[in-house]
Amino acid sequence: MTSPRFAYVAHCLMNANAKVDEWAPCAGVHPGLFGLLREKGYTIRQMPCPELAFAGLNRFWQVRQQYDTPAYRRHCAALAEPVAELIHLDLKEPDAEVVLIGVDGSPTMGVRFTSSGPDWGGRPDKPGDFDSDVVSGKGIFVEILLEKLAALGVAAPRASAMTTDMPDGDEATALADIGATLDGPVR
Amino acid sequence: MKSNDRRSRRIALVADGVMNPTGNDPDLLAIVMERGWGIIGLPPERLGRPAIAQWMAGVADQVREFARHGMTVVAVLDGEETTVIGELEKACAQEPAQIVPVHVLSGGDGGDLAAFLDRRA
Repeated sequence: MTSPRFAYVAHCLMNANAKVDEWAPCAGVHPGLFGLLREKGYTIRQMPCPELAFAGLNRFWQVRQQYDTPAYRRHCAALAEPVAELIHLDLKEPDAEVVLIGVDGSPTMGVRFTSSGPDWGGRPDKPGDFDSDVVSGKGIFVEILLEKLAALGVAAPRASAMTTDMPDGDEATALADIGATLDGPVR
Repeated sequence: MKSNDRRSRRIALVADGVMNPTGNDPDLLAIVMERGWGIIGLPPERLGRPAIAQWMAGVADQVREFARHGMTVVAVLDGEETTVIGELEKACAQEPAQIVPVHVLSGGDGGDLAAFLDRRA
């Protein structure tokens, strides 16, 4: 009998329709990630897309600083609350494991890297497509979710991410890293 | 959209049992995925009503945004998950109300689900 394993996956990895305009890499569910989760026996939990309902489907790519407002944080907190409760509940199963799968480079769902551009105001005002840097750090939703888990006494789950939003992101490398994270530490 | 944007503009809300089949149940999520639908996974019934209600408020907001842009949204639900269904209905009934075509799972190999999705594609 294997331990119950739960993967909490960023929304757009299961629904590319939620991606920022021009950035949908597949029709709907990311097939590589889906195959990996099934192969490794994970229960799939899909997290919400905070950006979609807040900034809409026609939003352009923004940096963390643009989303880092009190109103967006309240929005993320409302969405994160039941997700944290479900993680807490899932972890009550004996020997249960939880993994977060985010989107590195995202201002909202990054788990290791997020986007930063203190001067970036929006595509209409800039000659470049995206005047920003990728920096170490978490996206706003991920940060708030981890705070809520900590408040429930739950340690931060191990995490990995797709990197297709990163300047040099490579799907095969990302899936290999996600696979290793799903496998967990060698015991 | 750029020409390399590959979104399908079709989204299925799916019950936890679709996301996570057990035992010898057919993998219905594979049927949804192979047809190019994106999904919004619903929480399991055991999460309890208050948290499910909070979760569904967020789901309904996403549904409204997809529908506002002319995307197709359907729901594939487990008839035994009465709390999930009830809270989804309540959340979608909030203004602006959103009507979502529903397919209730009835066992079998998923052929009826495939037909339901194909009719709305």
